[in-house]
Amino acid sequence: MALSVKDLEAGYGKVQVLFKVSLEVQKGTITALIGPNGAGKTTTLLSVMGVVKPWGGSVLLNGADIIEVPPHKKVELGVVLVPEGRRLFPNMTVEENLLMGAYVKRARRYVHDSLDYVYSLFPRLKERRKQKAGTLSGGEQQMLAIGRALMARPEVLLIDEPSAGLAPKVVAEVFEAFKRIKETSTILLVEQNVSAALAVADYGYVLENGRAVLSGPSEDLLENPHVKRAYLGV
Amino acid sequence: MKPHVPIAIYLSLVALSLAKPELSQTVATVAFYMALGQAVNIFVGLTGYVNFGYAAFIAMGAYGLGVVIAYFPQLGTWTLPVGLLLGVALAGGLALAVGAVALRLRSAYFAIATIGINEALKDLIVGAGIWGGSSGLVLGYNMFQEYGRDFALFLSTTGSTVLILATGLMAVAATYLLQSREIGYALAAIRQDEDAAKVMGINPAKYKLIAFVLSSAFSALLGSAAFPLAATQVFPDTVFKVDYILDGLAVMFLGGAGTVTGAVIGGLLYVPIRLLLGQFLPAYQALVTPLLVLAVVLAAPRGIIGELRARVSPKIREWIP
Amino acid sequence: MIDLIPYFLNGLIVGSIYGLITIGLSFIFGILKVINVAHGSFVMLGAYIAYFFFVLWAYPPLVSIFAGLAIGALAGFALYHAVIRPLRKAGEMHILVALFALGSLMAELARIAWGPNVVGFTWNIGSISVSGYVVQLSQLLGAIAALIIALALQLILYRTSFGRAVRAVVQDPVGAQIVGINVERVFAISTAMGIALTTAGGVLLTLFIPVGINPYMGDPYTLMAFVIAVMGGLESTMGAYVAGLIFGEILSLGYPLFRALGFAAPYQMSLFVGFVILVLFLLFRPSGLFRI
Repeated sequence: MALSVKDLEAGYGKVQVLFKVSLEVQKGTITALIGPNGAGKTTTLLSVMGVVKPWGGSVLLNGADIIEVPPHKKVELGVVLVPEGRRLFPNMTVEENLLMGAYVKRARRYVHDSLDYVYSLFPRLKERRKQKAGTLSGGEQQMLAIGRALMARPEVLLIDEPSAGLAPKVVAEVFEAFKRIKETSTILLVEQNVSAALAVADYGYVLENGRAVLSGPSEDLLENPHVKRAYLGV
Repeated sequence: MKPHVPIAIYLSLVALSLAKPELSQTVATVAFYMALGQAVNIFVGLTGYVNFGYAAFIAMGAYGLGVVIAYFPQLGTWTLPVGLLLGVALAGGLALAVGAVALRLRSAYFAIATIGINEALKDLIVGAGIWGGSSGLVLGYNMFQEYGRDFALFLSTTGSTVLILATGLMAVAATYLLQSREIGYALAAIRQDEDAAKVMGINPAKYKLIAFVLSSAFSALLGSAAFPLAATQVFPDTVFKVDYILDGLAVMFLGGAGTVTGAVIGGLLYVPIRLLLGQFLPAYQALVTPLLVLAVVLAAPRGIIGELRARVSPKIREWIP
Repeated sequence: MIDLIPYFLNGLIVGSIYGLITIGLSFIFGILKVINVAHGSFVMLGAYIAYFFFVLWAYPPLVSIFAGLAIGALAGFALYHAVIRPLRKAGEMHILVALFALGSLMAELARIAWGPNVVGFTWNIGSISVSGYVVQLSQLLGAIAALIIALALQLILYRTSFGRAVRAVVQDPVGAQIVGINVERVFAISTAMGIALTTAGGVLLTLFIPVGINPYMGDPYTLMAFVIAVMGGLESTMGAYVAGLIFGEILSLGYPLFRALGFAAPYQMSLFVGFVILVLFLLFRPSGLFRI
């Protein structure tokens, strides 16, 4: 198990958002976390990363509990987040953003290889490498955010809502890349776009009201009546 | 709950200064800091913005009355109300002009703007030599002429004390009203998250402006009372002193920022603390105010009343708004 | 007709120091979004460092500037950990108020430790003549040293890994955190660097105020630094330096002009113009002279 989350509890101020959420993410797979708006999907990712401080539970990376590790050190351990809103450095060029992605020690040695890899994954970024990140289109920004995360040589990649605000064609392009990324990194994917997410994922969890209510292989979830009714509009 | 406790304290001080004129000086000092803290609280405590150029508004009050006494002796006794009004108008007008534009800025920029305005006004008065320039306004002779000897003496002692107390009382009432009405909720929302407040349809600039103008008008009255009336002189170096805002912040934070009662309690404690230290460790007296502010902000940012309110039962909490 | 060239030269030289003094303010604001209202007290600290190094050990300011940088860095670390970090959650108002109190406290402590009197010293190493206009060599060297420090900061920002981390934090603190930057550490080091630059500015300032070192000397420099920082765009360090040169000219050229116009206190009038510029910039062009 690359990443396993046990009984995770978290919230903001006095409001509890997550209630004993448990997830297992198998090495070399894509695991999708789906559910309605406000169910706590993003909070789960942020708590795993430590950007939101969890109230309780544990987060195990290859068996070791890393829940107390601050976010910047988690990157050093190989847990990397592609956040909602991308959080790029708008006044740096595409390439500078990518180089920032390799800021941690584990990644510095491989900067050139990583750069080639990201450019082969997203050739459009190579075309725009001298351009300021703030001037990119939404789709290119999303590719850059994923590329920047890959530069850290992640073992586990947490991706939050990559399809948000993107045209269907671009979504397809980004999701296509996940299949290649899976060869080197394990992915935990949070998505609103349930059909696209389950199409690419191996396994899925449904999060509702801060609780993991359903889980199973993607094919099974796609056939599940509740998922069909609530998320696929069938 | 209405602010019975602070009003009672103010009224007993009024009674004390009228019954025992020999104590007027002491009462005036305590009342000045109480009212100063209250006026600072109306703006800083309720909005979360800081007006480091606070002295400029005290100065407007001091110069408003001072200029009328000095340059319009033909008005006789009328110089007093006209001068007070002019001071309030100058300070209020300045606050309105500055606030209308600067309160749209984030609070760091606003803080800088206020320091700049205080310095600019002082430099203008000294540099261009207006309103007596660097040598200030000395008013004793004119006041004797305009008010007669006895009334002038009364004004500069009991009169100024009562004016300070009245200003403090008005400031308490204003704090209470600002805090308990709809505007209070708006201000609280602004203090916590200005952007969220905007989304809720609150116009932060408007509410901040009301608090800023009120706070400035009260400061002007304090300036009129403390300088032309009590000291019978107005010097740019004393009225534009940055110290007043630090004193006001010390009183406000000690008592509890954003509360109605805080500044009253803060003022009652602050003056004796300073006096005692002045008595026994005069060399270190100047350390008290900044140390006090730092210590309270770092260790108990809610102040005495704020901490009390958090600890006591709701029934008692009602008594200390 | 007044010959303005000596005033212009003087404005440029003293402006370089004003620029350095302001860079620290802009640097800290750009990264932490905290306005250091205690700024002037660190200028004062630097001036006393220069004074004691000169009087006690005969080290000129060009040497004691290293002590200024070191002591300033230590003071900056202390400032960050004792005041700024604990109050970051409490909000901007609390930080502003605490810093303001700290500035006043430092001035009072300096008065107790070093006395209320104005002190000073003169480091005279002669003068040079530029086409008939005499320039004090010590002041010229001070101005050059300030320029070198300003350029060194740019090198750090644009050529080192720490500089990249700083720029990342400025552009998106959350983004910086998730690429593995220790944002807290960047904040602490940046505060230390900003204060170090400020005390270094205070050290060099002593070359221009032969009898002006006193515990309360900081306040006008806080204000000047505000004016300059706002002109320079508040977050831009190089903008701050250039704006410092411009402000040096305003004060230097304003003096003979206002005197010629018959004002009672020409220096105050130049300052008045400075503060009017400050307020106008804040209100109408908060991004400063140079858009970056």
